[in-house]
Amino acid sequence: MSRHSPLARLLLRRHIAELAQEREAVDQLRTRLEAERRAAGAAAIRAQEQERQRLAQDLHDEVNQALTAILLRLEATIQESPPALREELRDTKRLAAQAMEELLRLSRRLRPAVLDDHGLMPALHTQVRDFSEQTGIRATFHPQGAPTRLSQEQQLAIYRVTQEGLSNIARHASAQRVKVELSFVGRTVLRISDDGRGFSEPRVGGSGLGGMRERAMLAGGHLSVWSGDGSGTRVELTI
Amino acid sequence: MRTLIADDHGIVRSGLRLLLERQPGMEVVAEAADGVEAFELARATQPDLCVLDVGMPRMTGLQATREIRAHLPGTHVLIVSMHDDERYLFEALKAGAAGYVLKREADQVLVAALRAIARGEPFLTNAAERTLIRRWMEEGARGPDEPLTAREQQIVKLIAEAHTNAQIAQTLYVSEKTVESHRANVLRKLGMRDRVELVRYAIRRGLVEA
Repeated sequence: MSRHSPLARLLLRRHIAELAQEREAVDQLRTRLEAERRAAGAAAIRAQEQERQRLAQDLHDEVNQALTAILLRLEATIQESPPALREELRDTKRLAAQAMEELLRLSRRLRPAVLDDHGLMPALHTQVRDFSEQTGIRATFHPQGAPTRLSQEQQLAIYRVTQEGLSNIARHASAQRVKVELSFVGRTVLRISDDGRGFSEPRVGGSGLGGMRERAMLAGGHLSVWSGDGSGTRVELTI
Repeated sequence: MRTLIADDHGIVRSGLRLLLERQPGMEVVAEAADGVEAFELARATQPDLCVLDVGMPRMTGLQATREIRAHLPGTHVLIVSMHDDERYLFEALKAGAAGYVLKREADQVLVAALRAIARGEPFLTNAAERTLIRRWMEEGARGPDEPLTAREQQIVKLIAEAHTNAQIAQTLYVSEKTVESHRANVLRKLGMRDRVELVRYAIRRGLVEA
């Protein structure tokens, strides 16, 4: 059979059509696997959040109740004690009170109760304010535009990215000013900028950035990071 | 001053008792581990003062406050809370509590708070006062948003805590039929289908802790 005979051409066309079909089947399979992977990732993160909530709940209830009891007992003991002992007992009481403050702060970070109870904007306000108070770094929150409807997942992603972003700044940046912006004009954009020392090698995986990118993707969004040695850092989450 | 203390944590109750019994003129006459027990013991012992924890099973400190204030107007109630949450502060005062104190500061202010409310005065720390004013100014714009009656809220809490209709009937001194009809009303008013949604609602409204 000659290469150019009608039969040969027919066979060739069929062969090409089959290849195209197989190619399409592979593409569909890949899309489905991607969707399943994303669903599994989202389920894993949800499970992680629930675990965090349980942990926060346990911390709150048991340990803080015990610290309350300790504070009350110490106060009762102070009132019974000779003056010589009172100062020491008061110091002990102060330690217990500090431990309680620390735990309350920790469990607020683990479980964003304020997010569930009052919504995203108050939650971010509180986060930025707490960050300022704890680190002494001037941080401000700037919402812009009317908040559009965001799904639970998207709200949580914004909250967590802000949390991890601020945590990174506290640990690495040596910054003096931080600006957190949330804009609803057009797409929803969260921007965290600091004037710290920046970094030239983007840290991926493990802490910080890797987790943030994953959260961004799972919320149907996109994370961008700009940083230069000595010129600050900007993290942007677009949904 | 005869005082009733209520908290679902035994260690907190014993700490409160230790501190209060140390105070001249104060006596702890009853201890309760939940809101229902608090109300029942209050009725039985007629204390001058009640110290109620907010987060208790069967009936919250806020619900118990309402009941106690309704039946024992001569009894003053102090709410103690783990949560620095302005929602609870506002609700506590609306429910008739004379004062609101956080657990983390209880060792310092509890006694002063009790002496103040015994005199018929309200007691709030400066921080609580500021929160209250701020919330009041914000709330001016919004209207009331609670569709359920107090009784219906009680039912929701007990359902969320997985009590059976029979147990709920016993706790509230009503018939099972009444409980069923309340349950149906609640689901209808809130547009919910089942207990799972009710539990979420109960958590959001602070009727149970998550």
